[in-house]
Amino acid sequence: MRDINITLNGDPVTVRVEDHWTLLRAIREGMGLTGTKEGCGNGECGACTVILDGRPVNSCMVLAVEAEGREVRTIEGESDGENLSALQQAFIDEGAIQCGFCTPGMVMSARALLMRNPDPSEEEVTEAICGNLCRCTGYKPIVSAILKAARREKKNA
Amino acid sequence: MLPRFEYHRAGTIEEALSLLEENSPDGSILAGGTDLLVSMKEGICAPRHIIDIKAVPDLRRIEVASDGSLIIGACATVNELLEFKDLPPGMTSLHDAASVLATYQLRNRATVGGNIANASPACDLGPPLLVMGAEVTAVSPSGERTVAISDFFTSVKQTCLAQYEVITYIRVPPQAEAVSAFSKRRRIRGHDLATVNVAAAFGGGGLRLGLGAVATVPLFVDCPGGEKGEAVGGRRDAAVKACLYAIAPIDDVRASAEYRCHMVELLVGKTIDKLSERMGGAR
Repeated sequence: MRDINITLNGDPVTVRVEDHWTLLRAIREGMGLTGTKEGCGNGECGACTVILDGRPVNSCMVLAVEAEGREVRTIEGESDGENLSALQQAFIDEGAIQCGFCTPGMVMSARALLMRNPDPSEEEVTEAICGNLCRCTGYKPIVSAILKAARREKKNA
Repeated sequence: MLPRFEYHRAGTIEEALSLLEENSPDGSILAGGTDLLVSMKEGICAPRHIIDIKAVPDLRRIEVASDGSLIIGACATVNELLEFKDLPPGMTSLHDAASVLATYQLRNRATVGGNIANASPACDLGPPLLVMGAEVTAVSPSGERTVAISDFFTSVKQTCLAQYEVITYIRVPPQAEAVSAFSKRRRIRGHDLATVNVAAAFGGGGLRLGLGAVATVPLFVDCPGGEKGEAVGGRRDAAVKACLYAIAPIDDVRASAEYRCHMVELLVGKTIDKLSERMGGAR
């Protein structure tokens, strides 16, 4: 096992990992943060999406050891304590959450989109979530939620 | 779950090569990991030593050389290629192919070198690199060599790279007046390998096509000649015929061979139409 030092949701942490652990396993088992989900384990569903040095990645496709010295944002970092972000609230308001399993990954992909493009078109939102599968909603409410959140965040900026 | 292995981070290419040799035959190079980790999880391979080359300087660069060629470091990610602002003229097919490769998240990890080293017959970057006459430079303990992309792919998931050879960069020569385009047929919008993909380039003496997912390797189909000043649209039928002659598609989980033949016909036509459009429809 070896220790890795990462900045997790803004705070420096040290986690003990095995070389063969994915970042996903380190987040869920090493750090006890189970918001990030394992869907396929193969980089195809996006349920494990986290933001690594500002870029959304499938954490099942990143080795834990590769995160050494980097910034990792997970769904747990999206809210400010008990206060949901505009994105999280918009997901609730638009009915974009049914079973909820894709939701953390969707929110992370959306958050990463708004970080690089605060005023996306509907087409850009659709493109940004192409790597996140949802079996429940048919995607439409998710796209609406992200557009709504973008408008709200822009207004509050 | 990944099988157990020891992780090494190489600081130089020499270190990477040493580690590969020392740990032979149990060592594998790790770039983006989007193919290697999947293979390991599926039990296809289980290297006991993983050698990460992403920290090797120069492997992530994307730059335009003084002669106008585009140099892409083996470890440049697909999104980094998409975000590169100074793409030289005529290389649009490469950008177009990169934009539909996998998903946004995977493009933040998948590398240009890795896409061709993995050598899926359906790889998205193969056809554009073929039509643009790219070259692949690799190093091994015996030195450095450069191969033409047309010699690079040898069979399904196999390349001309020798046992301890590691790609360092890909060079796309200047495309002088050429126009290029790319089309990808997939079952869904989003993450899917190509059912068929097509790259086309027109200029400098002819029409060049690259076809993926229709043979054991990405295919290069050359349609040189033609009348000077002849509109590329006029070459459509001859090009489609040449492509249908060259391909050897199979039935697989994504499509039947018959469907692929039909798609080649449609997609080659469509991609040539895109070329016409890009040339303003006038030429």
